[in-house]
Amino acid sequence: MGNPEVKLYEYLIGTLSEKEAGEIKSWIEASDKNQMIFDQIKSVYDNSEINEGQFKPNVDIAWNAVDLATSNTPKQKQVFFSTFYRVAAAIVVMVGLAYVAMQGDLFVDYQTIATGEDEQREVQLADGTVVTLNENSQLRFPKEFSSDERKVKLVGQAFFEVARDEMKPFQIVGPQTSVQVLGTSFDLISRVDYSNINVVTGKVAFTSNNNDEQQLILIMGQQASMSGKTMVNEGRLDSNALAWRTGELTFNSTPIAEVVETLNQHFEVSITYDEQISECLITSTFKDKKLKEILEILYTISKIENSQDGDNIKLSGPGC
Amino acid sequence: MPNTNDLELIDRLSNDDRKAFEEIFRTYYSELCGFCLKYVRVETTAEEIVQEIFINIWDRRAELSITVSIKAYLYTAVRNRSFNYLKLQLPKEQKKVEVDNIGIFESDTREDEMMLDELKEQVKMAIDQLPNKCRIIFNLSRNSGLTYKEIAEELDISVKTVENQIGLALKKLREQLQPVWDKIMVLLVGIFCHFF
Repeated sequence: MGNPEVKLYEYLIGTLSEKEAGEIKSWIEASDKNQMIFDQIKSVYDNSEINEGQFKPNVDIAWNAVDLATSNTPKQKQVFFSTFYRVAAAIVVMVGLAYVAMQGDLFVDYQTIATGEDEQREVQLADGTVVTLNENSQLRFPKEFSSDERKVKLVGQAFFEVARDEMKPFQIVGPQTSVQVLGTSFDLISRVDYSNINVVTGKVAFTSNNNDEQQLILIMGQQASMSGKTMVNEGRLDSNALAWRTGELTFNSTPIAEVVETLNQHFEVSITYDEQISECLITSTFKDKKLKEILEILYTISKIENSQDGDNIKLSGPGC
Repeated sequence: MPNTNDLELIDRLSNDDRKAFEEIFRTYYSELCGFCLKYVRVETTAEEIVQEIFINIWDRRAELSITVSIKAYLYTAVRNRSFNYLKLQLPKEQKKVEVDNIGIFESDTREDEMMLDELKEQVKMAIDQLPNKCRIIFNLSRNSGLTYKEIAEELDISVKTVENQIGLALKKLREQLQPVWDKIMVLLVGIFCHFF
């Protein structure tokens, strides 16, 4: 029996001859272990079916997108936030399912990369721009940029290092906001009702798709976010927001409340702390450290103890 | 051969009739997305591909030559575009953050209440984690109804490669799902014990 797993799979999809099928059945019945292997392959087989009946795309939204992309409005000149986008934004409702195919892109070949849970991917675009995609995100980009603009679409989170080209602004269109840059590096979260940008170098224009008067021009070291319909200039860049990519968490006389919030987000846990240590300020840099190690270090520097109950961690201590 | 209704729609379409275009779109959009999903596994991707096809049809409406039914024409377009899309994904190796296999399942806080239909979710996640080429080939075999030979031809690889990748997928999936099956066994034993 060559590779039993493959043969069992072929038995289930029905591509074995009668003779082979008979052989496999004997093999299964030969021992409990074989039966178990068959059960597992069958489990994989049963649960890997894609039931397209459960996929119900919103036809109205999709039609609006296609209608828009094929309607005969003249192509806009190089205006950053043209009428087209205002109209497009009004129609692309916050469902995030259907992308608006943009006018002038009819002959451009698009590619989409997507990441799943706990997956990160890096891609280099035709102009040299490097994009690092965080988990559960999708980036859509043309294989070759058109002659007067560089435009990509993002849902999720990515870090961009945009190659400088003054003649061709680089634009990232998301479900809620758009970002326009000349040549910069920044971290961008782009979702249906939440967006956040941390600018590491250069200068960017951060705009709501729904209202292009809602716009912030940000320079290096600045941060902005949009939640629902509210756009906020958050002031200083949050270097810990980049931790997913750099693996580095930095605290500089940071109050314990903020430390806890950062750890919760980065490690996806639920940490709470006692009143007693609420005055503690933490100064430390953690590079590629596991949560356990960080908690040990918190004990060393501030006598902060931790007790763990599944995903819930409680911090306590004598205070600072 | 396109039926009379199809012929009329195609004719109106080539004469810039938006209503005809919309009618064709609304008639077939959902089912085409479902069909595409079987190839590409990601809902947003399926919608994009189908939308691109329609945009393309409108754009070329003057020179369209449909000798089969509209439905057959559309399904063929989806199939071709899906393969083009998948072929583009093949050479890219994903960079994965190494995650301890046991760790993934242990972080599920609802351990005791794990329902059996979560298994489908777990299997989906495990498939998401397969290397690109492996996942694409396994999915095509499982869901698009293509034989190894057909898959090999469309993706421009050998039949042996297809078979190896399927073997690899099965092996990895069994490994990934081992802890899940162990938990289900415990759950089932627990349920049975309640009856005695």
